[in-house]
Amino acid sequence: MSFLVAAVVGIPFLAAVLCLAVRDRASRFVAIGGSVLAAAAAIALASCLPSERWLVGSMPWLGTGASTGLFGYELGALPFIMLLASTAIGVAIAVYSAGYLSLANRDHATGSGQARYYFWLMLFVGSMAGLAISPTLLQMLIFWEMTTVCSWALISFYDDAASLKAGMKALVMTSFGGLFFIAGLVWVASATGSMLFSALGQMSPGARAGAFSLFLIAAWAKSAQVPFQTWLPDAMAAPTPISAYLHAAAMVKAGVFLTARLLTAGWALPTGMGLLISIAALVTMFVALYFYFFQDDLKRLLAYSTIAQLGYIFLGLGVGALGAPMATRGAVLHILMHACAKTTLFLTVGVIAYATGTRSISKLSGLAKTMPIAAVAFFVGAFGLTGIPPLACFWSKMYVLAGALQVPGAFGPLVLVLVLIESLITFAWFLWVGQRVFFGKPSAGAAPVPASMNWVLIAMILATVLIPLAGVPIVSHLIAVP
Amino acid sequence: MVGSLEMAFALLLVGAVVSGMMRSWRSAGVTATVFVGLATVFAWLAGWKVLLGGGPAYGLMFRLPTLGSELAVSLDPLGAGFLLVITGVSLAAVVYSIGYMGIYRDKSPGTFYALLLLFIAGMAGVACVADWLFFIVLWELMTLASYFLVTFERDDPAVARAGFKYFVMTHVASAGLLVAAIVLWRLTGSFAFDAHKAGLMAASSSIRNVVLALYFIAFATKAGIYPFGDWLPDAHPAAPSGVSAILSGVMIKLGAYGVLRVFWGLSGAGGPGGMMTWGVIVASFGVLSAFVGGLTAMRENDAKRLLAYSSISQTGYIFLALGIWITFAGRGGLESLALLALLGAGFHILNDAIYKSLLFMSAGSILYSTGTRDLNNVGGLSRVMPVAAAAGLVGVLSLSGLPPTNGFASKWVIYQASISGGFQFSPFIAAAVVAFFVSLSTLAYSMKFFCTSFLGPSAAGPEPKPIPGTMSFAQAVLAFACLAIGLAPLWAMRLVSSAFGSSLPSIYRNGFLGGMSTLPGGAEAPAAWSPIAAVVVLLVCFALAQIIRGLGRPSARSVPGWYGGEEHEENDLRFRARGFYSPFNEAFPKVYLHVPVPRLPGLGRLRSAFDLDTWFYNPLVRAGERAVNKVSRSHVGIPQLYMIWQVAGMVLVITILFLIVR
Repeated sequence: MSFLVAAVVGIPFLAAVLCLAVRDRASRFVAIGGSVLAAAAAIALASCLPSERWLVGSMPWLGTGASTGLFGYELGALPFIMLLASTAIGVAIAVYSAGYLSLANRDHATGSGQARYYFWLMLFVGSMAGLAISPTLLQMLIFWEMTTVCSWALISFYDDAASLKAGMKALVMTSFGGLFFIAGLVWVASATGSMLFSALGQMSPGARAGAFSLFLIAAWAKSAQVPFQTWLPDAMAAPTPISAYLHAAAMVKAGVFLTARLLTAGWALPTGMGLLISIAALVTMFVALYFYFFQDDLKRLLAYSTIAQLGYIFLGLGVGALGAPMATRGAVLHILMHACAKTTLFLTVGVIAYATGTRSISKLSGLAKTMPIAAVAFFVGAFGLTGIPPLACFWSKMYVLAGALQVPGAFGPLVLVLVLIESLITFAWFLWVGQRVFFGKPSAGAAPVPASMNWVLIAMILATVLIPLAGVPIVSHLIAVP
Repeated sequence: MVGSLEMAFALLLVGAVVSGMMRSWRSAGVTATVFVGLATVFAWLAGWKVLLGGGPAYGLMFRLPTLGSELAVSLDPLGAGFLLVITGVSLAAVVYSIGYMGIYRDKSPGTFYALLLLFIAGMAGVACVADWLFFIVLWELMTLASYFLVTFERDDPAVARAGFKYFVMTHVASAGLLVAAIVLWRLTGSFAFDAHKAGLMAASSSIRNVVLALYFIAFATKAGIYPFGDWLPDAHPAAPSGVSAILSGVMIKLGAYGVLRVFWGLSGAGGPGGMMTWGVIVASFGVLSAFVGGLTAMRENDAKRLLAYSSISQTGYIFLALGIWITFAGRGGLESLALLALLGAGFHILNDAIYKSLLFMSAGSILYSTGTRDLNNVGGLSRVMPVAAAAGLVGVLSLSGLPPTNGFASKWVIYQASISGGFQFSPFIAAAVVAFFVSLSTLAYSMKFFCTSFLGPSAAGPEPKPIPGTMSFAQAVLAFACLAIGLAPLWAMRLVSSAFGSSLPSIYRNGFLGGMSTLPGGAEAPAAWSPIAAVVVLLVCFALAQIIRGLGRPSARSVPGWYGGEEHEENDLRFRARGFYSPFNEAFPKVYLHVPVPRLPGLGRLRSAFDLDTWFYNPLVRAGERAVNKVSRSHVGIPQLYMIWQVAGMVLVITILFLIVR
């Protein structure tokens, strides 16, 4: 297995270096090849379910002697979900980018800089894979900060004032959160001499809650939760495939992944912390929902929707921490389901912008006639996202709702009602936007779109429809919260 | 071993893919018809076997152990009854669509038929599961497919609005369904119908009533019951007519199916209390819906909207009967009365499915032939499409419940149930009176629909074009079914009662000339109905009238109309749809109140408060920049000044060190 793990992390890094070595135009093929191999290795790792761990390395100068086993890998349902979401969607992004980065792109014509683009993209895929398999807090921190740096480079890819500023903003806000990660890590290591996720279990309940709060702040910043949500909409200055990957499938999921990893490590949180996570998540969901109504840019709308959906995952984790394993399962499932549905939506918006040169909802109409595949993809993505059965997010939301009722007292039913309200309003709004953009009289003509982009859209449609068949069995392996 | 049910679903899904790949309307339509036809054959094989006492069918697909849920095709007699209606009517609508969809030359046939078959599969699936989770999944699949069928003419903003309203309203209601299912899952750990039934029985009365209310609202919304079904008058006219026929004929009946499922066995002898209240609630909404729908249909001049309101009214009849059933089921000595109401509901579901889909096809034929749905601007179409006109006549006679059609037979049973129920619980008498009154209004709007479109002089404008044979054929088959069931009601009632697993002979026996009559001794009022005898009497009267007319030798002459010497175009003198019942419509206010879409003017006020950038991060960054600028001012570029700073710093450090070391 260690061979496969080495492959899934190493191949993207190798491909990244190779991207710089080859000519600008050839780098795309290196990236596609690298991501395909990494995804194949990730899927082959499914045989490691339910769980496998391997550790190496030590830092004797830390003194306690217990600081051994710092690096390695740990596989299980949760890492596998994250691995799948980041590598499989990485393939879609690499193939899609090959078509998207072109001079024919009416939204943003791009001729050069492809090697740089694919270098950072592959570096990012590798970092995400490394983060997913991390057995310790230290290894996760290293890959965590690597994704932050890659994110900065990729958001600023277009090199204009807006994207440079957005990249800077994302970097500052997420690394500010990263400081809390380091603080939490130091606290845990000094208190227990271990950097394992389960080490928090050896701390006194008060210290554990304190250390966990530090990690939680880091996760909130990474996942763009209130009050750190403002960097994500601005990060839409990135090329659309990057937005799809970083801000839907992978990077922002790192925050919820860290939280989920800690919460499933076999120790319990005080009830107050569970409530805190849940309430903060509900606040985020409704703040983001509120901003839907003022967005005219399709990508910004999707950014706010991502914030809300990440809130959904935090909510599932918080409710799970209150003693509802179903909700934890739902949250983990939502990582994968949301990755598929939201990537589909982002890539659709990319296709629309590529062909028409605008992302403005009010300027687009009747696109179903000129771009039928994009229309199908948008509706499948939107319905998948808002939880129309039998598409992707219905299942994860179902689990979260079912979990909410496992919580004793009035909080569970309250969560249930609020979640449904959020879901229904989101559904109505996305339906309205979809009708606005795709129904009615066709707006000005659309340029032809490269076949590779359309094929990626078709693949993503199938993924959004079929992913529950893979996701639901995987989360049934998820170790239950004690 | 693949059962015939699995085969039927496989055919529908494969058919959706295959016809989805077709490029021409004709080949796609024929392919779809073949697949739906074969699926119908298999579904009927399975359905009949279950209905005729072959025991329920069951085939497991997969389980979700963490949820206590399983996907299985599972058919009991109730589901089998609905499956027969769903597939039969859908097949007729698909045949009809072959010809009808010719008016959409510029649209994609593959999309239409793929969605249509998916829609049919969803509806059939709803009748074939015994697990609430997958019931909801298939229920929403059906809604999803039908949404895209309703918005098929998506270039039209009105159609898009109708589709939006439809999807949002039914989806909100379905969310309630999901909540109800999850609450019962929490209580029982399973999603199976049986487990939820037991869970409902055992639950506290407040939880039970909340769950029942969620179920009722969800199903009433789908069934178009006033005021929940506000989407219906917009969505049914918007869809292509073959789809309207399925929507009105079958899909909204699944709302009644849901109510039957939920209350099935719950209101039995061992059931919890408070069911009588629920019966009265269901019946009240039924009566209200019948009344409001009937009166609104009378004012309507759009052929398909008129029928849509009529659907609301007829579903009201079904809910009235269901309410009476829920009220009396399991109450000592009144079982046969409850059964009578149940049979009335089931029979009316069957009949309304047939004649309402037939009438939507008639409206579609009008639209196909003339290009308009406005009854003011059509007329004399019986000359262009005689078969369709004859079928339409049978349809309106059935709808208005005139003997010897099937509509009369089922309404007769519902009247009998509500009058007999009135002896036990007097408000049901009032319900019966309203039902009688609504029946009159039904006759009125049916006549309006038929007379303005098929009779009278032709309207001005382009010559109506004849309709294709497939359209006439589908309508003729349905009309034949109306007459056959009308003439042999007891035969159809046997089927309906076997769908409920009940023994018919406890209520009805063979009556005069193949009719039916009540067995003495039950709680229900004694009554008998013999359609053949009624037809004979009607024919005799008709013959007598002709004889008397012949004896009197009246002289008929044809003269042009005289309008005080003023000259008019012939088209101006036609008696148009808007002229029908105008005094009545002026006297009565609009009774169907639509829910307005709420507007939230102050929505933007909180925007800056929630946007942390504007009042927190941006000022913070600016303050930081200002502070840095201030510090940078100390870098003046004069070496002497820097050295003074260094000396001062050194003094400070040495002082501190001195203080520490001392």
